[in-house]
Amino acid sequence: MIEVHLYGRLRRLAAQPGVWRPSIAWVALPEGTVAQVIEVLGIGPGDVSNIFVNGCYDQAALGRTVRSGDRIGLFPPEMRMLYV
Amino acid sequence: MSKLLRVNMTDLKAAFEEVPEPYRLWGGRGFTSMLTSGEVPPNCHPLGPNNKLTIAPGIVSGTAAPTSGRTSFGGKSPLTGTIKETNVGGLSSQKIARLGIKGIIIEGQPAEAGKFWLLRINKDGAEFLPATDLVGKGMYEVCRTLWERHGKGVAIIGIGPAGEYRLTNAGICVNDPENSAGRYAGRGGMGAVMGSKGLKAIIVDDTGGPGVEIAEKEHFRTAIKKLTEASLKHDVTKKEGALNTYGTNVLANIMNEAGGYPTRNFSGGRFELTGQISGEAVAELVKKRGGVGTTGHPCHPGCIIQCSNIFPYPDGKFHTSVLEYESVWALGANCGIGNLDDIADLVWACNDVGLDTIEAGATIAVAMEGGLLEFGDAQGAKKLIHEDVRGGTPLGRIIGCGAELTGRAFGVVRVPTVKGQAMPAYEPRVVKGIGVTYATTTMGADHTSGYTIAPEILSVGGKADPFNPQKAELSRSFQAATAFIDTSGYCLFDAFAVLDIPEGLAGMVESCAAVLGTKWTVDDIGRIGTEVLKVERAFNAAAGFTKAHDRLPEFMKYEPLPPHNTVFDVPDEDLDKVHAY
Repeated sequence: MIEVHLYGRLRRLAAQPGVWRPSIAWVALPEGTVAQVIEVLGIGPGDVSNIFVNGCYDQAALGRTVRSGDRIGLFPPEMRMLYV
Repeated sequence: MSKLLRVNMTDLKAAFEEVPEPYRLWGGRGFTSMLTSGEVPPNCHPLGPNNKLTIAPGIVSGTAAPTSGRTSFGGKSPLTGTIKETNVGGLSSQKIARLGIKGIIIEGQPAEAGKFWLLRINKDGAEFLPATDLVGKGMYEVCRTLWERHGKGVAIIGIGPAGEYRLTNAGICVNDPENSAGRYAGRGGMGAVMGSKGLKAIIVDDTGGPGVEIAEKEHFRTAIKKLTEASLKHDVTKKEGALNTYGTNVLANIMNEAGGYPTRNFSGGRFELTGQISGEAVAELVKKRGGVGTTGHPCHPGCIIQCSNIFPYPDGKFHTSVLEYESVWALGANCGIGNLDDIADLVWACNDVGLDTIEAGATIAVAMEGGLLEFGDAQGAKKLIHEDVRGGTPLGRIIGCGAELTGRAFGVVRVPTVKGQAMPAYEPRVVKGIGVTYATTTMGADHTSGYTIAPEILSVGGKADPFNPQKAELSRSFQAATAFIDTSGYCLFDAFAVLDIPEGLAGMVESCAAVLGTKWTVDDIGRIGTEVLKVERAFNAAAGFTKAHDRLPEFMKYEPLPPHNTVFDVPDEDLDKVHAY
């Protein structure tokens, strides 16, 4: 399982959405690129501004391979504090 | 011509004088640091008669320049023993500048200990009034009373009980457009210096003032247009951008995701309750509770970024302003407190009693580590500020003197300070560049002195890997650029836009040049900023500071921080390169 932490309006895709607790979606892929993982959640590249993989910001994260046990953090465009 | 106001508290005389040539081109931090360097003996006691409190609006403050209402407060810091500049928004900067005043110098000390005065400044001059019934009062009441007595809209600069007690974490408060006591030149204990001068508050009324003289008006208009366009275009600073929508506290979730959000006295990098104290949560509660609740609130007239907020009680009535990133972190995650209403109480208490929220939160967390109270004990934390610090109990005086003193009092090793000043909300073991800034700034641990977070986490103004320890050059250039911005009167948040949009940067420098009648271009930023840093470094050296003081606390070198389990591994030689000009 890949653990996806969602922020802002992306929280609606979590099992238990809302700002009062972590909004997490679990993706049952053993391995895949970040782009593939977010596609499973119905998120397009235009819906995200900034992506963290295991707590590290990565400008080129969409093409990065993640595996079961990894954590992804996704921020929407309106929280684009991280300017890219 | 702008002038200086020299205020002597020994004989209660205030007089205007011409601006000496060496100070003519300086404003804000540049002015306060040059004046401190020129007139304050580096080895003086910060609370004694020879220290001076200098107040200066920035170069463009009081003009039509956007987001430029910063007031600098300078002198020798009783918290760090170094030179200090701490700046703030609110109403004071524009009004001082529009009275044609470049700087206010408060010197001397009343012969009668415990006697406090008010200083009223308007177009006719300055006069002293006894502070009598305001002595011992919190800043919310002081602001309310002074508007009743001196007119709605006047600027108020004042200290709470913490400043009167001369506690080394006392800040200087400035009122905002709603007359809330929520703006603080908090860092470095400058409220104690104001208290040591016997000055409870300054009232500034700019009615009928001459305004700010602009040497080249047309050039100025063109320049501020460039800066305004950049600010309104950039994703971070634009209307409905991240800062405007969520406030600075948008960073809580971001730094937490990055694993660099200091938790429970810097023992972890992620706080499990971050979501419920984040900018998202503040925005949601403000919307739900209604009433006076506001996001996108300006801390001074003319701000186009508007990152502040007014946080309401559940019934919509005023609770506190402002819940910003550092305060919410310090009194929240760093103390293990995860409830916004508790944090709002604590922020209100600090604002009223007159404490810097960053240092107060860091201090309470150190006291929690030392066993005085449990992490997460919000009621205990409130009692410490409301009863102990406000009442001046022996415990309150320890807590009111900051994290380092409290760490000593409670035998704590994990004390996150540099030069006696507590670190803000960015973990240097994760974000190495900010650690370099904490270690080497002239101010003690301070994120605003060289905000390398922008390229390291936010990717504004270039890219940098936060874990890479080679950060000397990055920190140096940010420290110099910051010294320039702090001199200009512009808010540091203008930097987000100008670091990415070259026209905006040009507009910032050219607007300063147009006011002063100089030919400055962007190429002068580094030179001007470095000049400020060199003067500050020289003051600190004369006060006894060496490269041995440009270091982070030892525990950060041997204690790995979860979740990344990294330590601060920037070599000492690299720290020493930062200011090897």
